[in-house]
Amino acid sequence: MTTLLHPQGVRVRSLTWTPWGASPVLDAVDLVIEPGERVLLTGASGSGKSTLLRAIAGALENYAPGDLSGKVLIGGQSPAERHGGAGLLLQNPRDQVVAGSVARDAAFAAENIGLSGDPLHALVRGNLASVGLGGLPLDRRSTHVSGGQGQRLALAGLLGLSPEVLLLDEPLSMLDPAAARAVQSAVLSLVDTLGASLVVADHDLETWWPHVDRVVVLEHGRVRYDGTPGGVLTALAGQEELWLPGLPPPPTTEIDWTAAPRPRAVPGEEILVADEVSYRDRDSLRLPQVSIRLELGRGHALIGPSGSGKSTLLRLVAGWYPPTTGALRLADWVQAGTRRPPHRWNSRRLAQTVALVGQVPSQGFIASTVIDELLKTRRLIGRLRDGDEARAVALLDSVGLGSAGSRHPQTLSGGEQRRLAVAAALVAETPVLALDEPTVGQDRASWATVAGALRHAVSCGSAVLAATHDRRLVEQLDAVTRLAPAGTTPEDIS
Amino acid sequence: MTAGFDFQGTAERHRPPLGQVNPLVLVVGILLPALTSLAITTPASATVSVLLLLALLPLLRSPRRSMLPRLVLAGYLILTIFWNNWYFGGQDEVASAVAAARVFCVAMPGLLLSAHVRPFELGDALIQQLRLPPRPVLTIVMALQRTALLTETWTEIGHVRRSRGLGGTGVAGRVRELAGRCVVFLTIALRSATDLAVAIEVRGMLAWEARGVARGHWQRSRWTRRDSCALALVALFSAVPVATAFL
Repeated sequence: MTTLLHPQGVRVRSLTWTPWGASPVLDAVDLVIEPGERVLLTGASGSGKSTLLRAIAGALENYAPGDLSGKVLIGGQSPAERHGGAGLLLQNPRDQVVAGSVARDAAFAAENIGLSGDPLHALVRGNLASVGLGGLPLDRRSTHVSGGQGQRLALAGLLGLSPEVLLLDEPLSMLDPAAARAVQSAVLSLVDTLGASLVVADHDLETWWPHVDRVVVLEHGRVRYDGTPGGVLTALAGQEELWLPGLPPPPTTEIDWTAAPRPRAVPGEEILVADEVSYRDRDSLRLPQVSIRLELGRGHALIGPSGSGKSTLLRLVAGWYPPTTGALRLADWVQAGTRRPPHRWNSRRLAQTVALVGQVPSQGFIASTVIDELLKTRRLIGRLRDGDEARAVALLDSVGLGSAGSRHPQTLSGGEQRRLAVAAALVAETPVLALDEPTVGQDRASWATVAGALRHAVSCGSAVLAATHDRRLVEQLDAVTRLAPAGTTPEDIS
Repeated sequence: MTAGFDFQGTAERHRPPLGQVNPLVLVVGILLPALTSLAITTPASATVSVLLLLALLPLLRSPRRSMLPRLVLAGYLILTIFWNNWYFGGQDEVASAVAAARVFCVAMPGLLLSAHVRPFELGDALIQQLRLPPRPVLTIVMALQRTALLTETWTEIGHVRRSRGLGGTGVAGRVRELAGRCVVFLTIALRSATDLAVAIEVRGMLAWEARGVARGHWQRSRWTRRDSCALALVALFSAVPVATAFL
């Protein structure tokens, strides 16, 4: 495990990756990473960060259709010859669970180098302890851990191979601030003890900047900057797309979409009140009792640690299912004509009232082009007017998707899909907009469009409810409700 | 939060007896009686097999909470089979009862035992004892484990499509909506499967294959005398329908 065993580190030579039928995502990338070096790989949304990490891990060619040229060498060998040389941690902990229990998950990699019995048990306990999961029961189901624990479990799983380089792909983006800090400190202390190199891909320079030796900035698949963390500030001065340290949140983008006035709505009136609602499913209490009032023309942030029930509350508000206790009350003009609660409404009525942008926006795509996606709900609920097509094109431009109009929504990057879903929610012109982590995966420029879209919806008189870990977004909204973990009472800090 | 029981030694003692036998016995216990129960064609064999099965029920000592819905399902199954056979098959009560008994005996072991099969322990047994190749076995075991996640995804897609204003009315509309939901589901399932495949590779699955060393294992799959006895019981039980067919 000393650095002397693998003196050569990582060498990337004129690496080019061209997905079939698209332009290159990586374009002649050259990169040298010395053993023990800590590198932050950054760049705008879609600049090729994830692709580069996967190429270094040797996990690109077999899993995505495209052409790879150039070379990656780890300790002088290709990733294929030097399996386990690079450990790759992905963004979503849910997709990295490879076994049924915590112990088996952490043991999987070490099983692959032939370890069994007592040596394996000792190694697994040691690895779990070194990522701060020593207290987790070994027989806990690997899917029954929090997001932060899941990321650290996946990290412990990689240690079985004693990797020479740790590759982390936006490892903190799905986590709440406390969990993110725990994962980050586990990563940093690990690379210290292993003597391994570290390459972490993230939009947000601020989080990793103080802890790295070097920053590499990608732009359209090319290395735009490669140097010291200090130098990056001057080299990229004026580069508004990235979250550079010390840079304030950008002004929110003006969104080009004029909503029709709502004749019966009174600005500022209570549109939806969740009165002492809670939700329990078969397994557990998903949402401890909470009350929340949404008013027209007001933005509401929903914050709290992972597992506190933010997504569940959004779903109750969106009429997916009824609360276990408590009730939802809607303004009379919304409830007019029916006494049924929202979860029993037909889809048309529901879609006229509440729009929900979920954590996985691609689940909700219902059209085959981006431009259709934007207008589809509007058509289904009978709000399509002449000239909407042209207005939709202008709106796509203002959220940075101007060139994507004819693409299939499922082919967009994660950040682009989220922006599309937010824009489609705006276009439906519902009085209530519920959004789950709308700014995840956005660089500084695209963040401004999402925040702009939310502010625009508020100024058009909608009630916006956004669940978020992003404190910059919270500042853009008018009220905050913090959900507390089960067993405590939520505090209202608006 | 339900604890798994994968780490042997600690929780295994607290399992119901069926959770303690080797999962291979359970799999044989599901498949073999299902096969031999097809031989139930006479009232005599039907009576003996059903009575024997009912007599064994309390011995399984499964938790009542998990047993009850299964028994209800079995009851429903039997009644519909009986009714259909009786109504469409010439109102012959005896023949209908035999048919219902046959289906009961084919389905019941699976309904009762499947809940006790732990996918990863079954994987251990298949790899270590039957010497099956690890990669396909592990792939299947992981797929089994992901069913809960995929069910959740399927439900969420249904909800979110309703939120977006889709909801077919009439038969054609419903079929169209189901088809659209399937396409999105497959797209998302495929993407998450690709990520899982990458996660498996970066944890050295290829390395293991390249090296050709024996794969290690977290838990040794044991075959004890108790398992042999249980297997013998299964065989004996499975023989009953065949033996009584000649009564």
